[in-house]
Amino acid sequence: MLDFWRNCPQYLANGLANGCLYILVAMGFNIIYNSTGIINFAQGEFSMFGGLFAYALTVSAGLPIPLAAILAVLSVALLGGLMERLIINPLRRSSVITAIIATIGASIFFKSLGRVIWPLEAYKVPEFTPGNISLPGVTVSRQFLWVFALTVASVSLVYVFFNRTRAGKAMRACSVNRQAASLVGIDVFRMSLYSFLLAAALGGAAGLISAPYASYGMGLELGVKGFTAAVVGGLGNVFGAVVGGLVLGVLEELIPGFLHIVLGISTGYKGAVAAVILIAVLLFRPQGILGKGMVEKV
Amino acid sequence: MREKGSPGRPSFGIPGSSLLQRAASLLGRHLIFVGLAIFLAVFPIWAKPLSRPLGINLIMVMRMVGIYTVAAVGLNILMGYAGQISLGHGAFLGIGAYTSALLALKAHLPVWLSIPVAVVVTALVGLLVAPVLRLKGHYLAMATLGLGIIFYVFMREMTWLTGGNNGLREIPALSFPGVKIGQARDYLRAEYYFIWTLALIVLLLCSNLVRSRVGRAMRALHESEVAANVMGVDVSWEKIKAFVLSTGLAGLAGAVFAHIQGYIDPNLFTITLSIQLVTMVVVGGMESIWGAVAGAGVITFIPKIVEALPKWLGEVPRWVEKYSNYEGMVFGLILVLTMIFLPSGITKGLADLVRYRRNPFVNPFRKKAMEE
Amino acid sequence: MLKEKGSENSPGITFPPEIPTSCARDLEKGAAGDEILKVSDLTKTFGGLAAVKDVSFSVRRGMIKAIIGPNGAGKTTLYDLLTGLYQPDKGTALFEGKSILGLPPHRIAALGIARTFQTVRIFPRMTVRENVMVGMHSRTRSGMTGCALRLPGSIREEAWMEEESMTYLDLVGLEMQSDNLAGALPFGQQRLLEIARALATSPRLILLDEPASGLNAYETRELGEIIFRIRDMGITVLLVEHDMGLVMRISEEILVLDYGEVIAEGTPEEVRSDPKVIEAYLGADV
Repeated sequence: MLDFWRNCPQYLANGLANGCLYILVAMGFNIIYNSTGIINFAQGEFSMFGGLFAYALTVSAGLPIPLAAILAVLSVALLGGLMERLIINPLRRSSVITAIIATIGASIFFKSLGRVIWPLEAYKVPEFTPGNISLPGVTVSRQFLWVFALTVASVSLVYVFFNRTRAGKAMRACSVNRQAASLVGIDVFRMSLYSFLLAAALGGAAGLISAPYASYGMGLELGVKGFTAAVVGGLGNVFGAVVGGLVLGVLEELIPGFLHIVLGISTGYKGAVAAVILIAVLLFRPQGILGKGMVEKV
Repeated sequence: MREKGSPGRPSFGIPGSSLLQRAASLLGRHLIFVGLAIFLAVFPIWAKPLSRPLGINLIMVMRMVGIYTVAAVGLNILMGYAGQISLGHGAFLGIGAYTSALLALKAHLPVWLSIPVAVVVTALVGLLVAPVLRLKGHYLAMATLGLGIIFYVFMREMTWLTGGNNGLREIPALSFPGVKIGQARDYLRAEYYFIWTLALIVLLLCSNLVRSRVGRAMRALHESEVAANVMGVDVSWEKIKAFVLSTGLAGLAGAVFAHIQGYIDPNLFTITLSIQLVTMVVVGGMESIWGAVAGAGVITFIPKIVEALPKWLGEVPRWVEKYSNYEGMVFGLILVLTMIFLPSGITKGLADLVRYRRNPFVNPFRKKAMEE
Repeated sequence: MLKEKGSENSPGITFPPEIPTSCARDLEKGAAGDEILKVSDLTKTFGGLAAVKDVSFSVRRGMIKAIIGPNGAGKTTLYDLLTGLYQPDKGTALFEGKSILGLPPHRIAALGIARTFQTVRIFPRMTVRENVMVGMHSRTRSGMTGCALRLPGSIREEAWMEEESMTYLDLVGLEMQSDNLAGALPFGQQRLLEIARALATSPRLILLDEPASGLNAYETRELGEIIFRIRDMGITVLLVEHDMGLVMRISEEILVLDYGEVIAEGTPEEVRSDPKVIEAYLGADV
């Protein structure tokens, strides 16, 4: 038990770092859900491309990191836009099950595409600044500061976008009532495109900073965890994702840590923690812990 | 006036009075079944001479088609008929496979007993997690995906029982009292006949089911839960029935798979398998029992054909050889294009074209989506 | 039986002190004229807004009773409460003396209340006959095993259902369409199919939700005939309708709702001359 408490600061630090990634992915889920009513099962694959593009641009093409980062995020956004035009737009009036299957199709297509181009199990994406910072009881990588700063910056930018810009306000209107929004002259289809651009960019950013490694297989895990974060924060509540992501990140460290140290259960079960939390929240508190998410209509 | 509960005596029996007519109507009703059965019965005769020039062991592949058919039929009842998606069915195959394998390996149960027990266990696990069916649409999809992940992690981590990533080896072959299927001289053919007998029984029972009161209730709740509920259909119970049936069939497929394969490990039962099953349902057509055979066949044969291409063509580009890498691209494209152009699936879409002279390219889900 | 006849909420109606048994219809339960449905103080609020507020009324067996009121008066919400789709905040609803509140919709259907929907909710990708056969769900028993193995009992039941379903289609005049897809029917016939499907549950009370909306004058007249036929089968009819011509012509009693509250109840003549009704409803429209 004592060991567990001693490790807690480290769990918190790791949890916050992972939580930041989940926040970005979760916001992507929410933004798309709000303007299209679709859960994009390919959201995790945006992050995969973020990471792999960053690898390609820095290591393969030798670009400086900041430039590579920006280019990677932009390319992922473009990919998201392409996906919206080619898949989501033709299906805009389809049933939920059709849309789910189509985005799953997109997700395994992307994953496989990533695998064809980057077939290895792991690619080392250079950290922005290598090295670690050691504090009493906690060791965090310098990269963590970047993760944190970039997340804060992204969340702030999204906040400004939704509250200060015309497009952002229009997207918020869509999330409240798509039909009404289209009646007052908002181009709902363009909003759908914007939402995919934005969500893909956020996902790409998450993949980019999730260094040190990127691989074709990372999308599913990030996707499920990002969705869990979105559900914990209340699906549709874009900024609830911040709470959801941090809570999930921390719980995902604390629970296996506790089980391992106190009860002696293998840490291998860590992979199931997010899924258990996801199902529990969906069943018992579908509106999310903040209680502001959208509950599925009857 | 109101009939209480039971319908009482019907005024007429089965349509068709004479024995001959009755036989004819029965044949008509089961035309696909009889045709498929005959085809499958004679298949091994010409499969052998064909296998060598094709470079595909047809009997071996057809065994797998049969196993996937069983699982895909169950998933189709859940997805196509009852309209409830599951992205975790691969894990149920795993549960069936592990249960039967462990019972045979550790409890030394004969295989003919361990398989039915595995089916029951898998169905019970399905019943246990059935509360997720309270969720709808995207939420259900994500929750079942989560279930698949949880079961996978347990299969991998319970090393004392499952052997972890090393899996289980030397699982006893199929055998029944008096009949040694797995140790027969031509064991592939014996297994083939066993699996397809099983699959045909499952297909027949399921096609009976979907054309009955139970199947209608499932289709009704798919189209409008509220209306079905108000008409007296216990919606949540019907969903659970469909789910438990589909998990039981997945368990059966998994159990048989374990015994013909001889070894299993957790990585066989991941999300990839779940999505493969979904792809089979989609390709074969939602709401189509016989489509499941087609879906299972197409999805199982595609990789084998690509593998055999070098043999047919002599020289192929290098990228063709690395098919397993871009298999996902093929499946992904199939899923996306089918959803956009033939959302009711390939067989069903074409059948509808014939039956109702309806344009199959008109998305039948759209009307519903607009209503809601 | 009922002690209090003519509740305070329906002042215009007096019940005969006793119903001679010879006059009573040969119904399974109770006699014509007893209260098949009694609703008291039913209240449902959505986010602080009362959709239905302290609604009390009763319906006598064998009658056609209409519920009218401007849009948003809470008529459909009332139906949703009575069929178990919503749970009320307070109040009671007794169907043949049994409380139906808190029961799930399929149990209420099995008890003998059927309904149609304002926005047609047929099963479009099933055939017309299959739609009706779904309505017979709670009257049939075949289970999974029976259906999968085609046991004799299930086959008999299925044959009976196929035959019986035609009588309901006959009743609404859709017998020629039985093998067509329901979604392919013209709108008016979809409404009729909904009625046939509701009748197939073998109800003793049927709740019709704006059955005439979207119908032309001829179809509306036909609908009136069908409703009479339903009544003559011994089924009590509760009717939410905007077509005043139809309502005044066929209903024996009318309940008027406004902003979720009962503002009047009585015969068509009484309601027509009620100043409150004219003010709240007819006055606003005319």
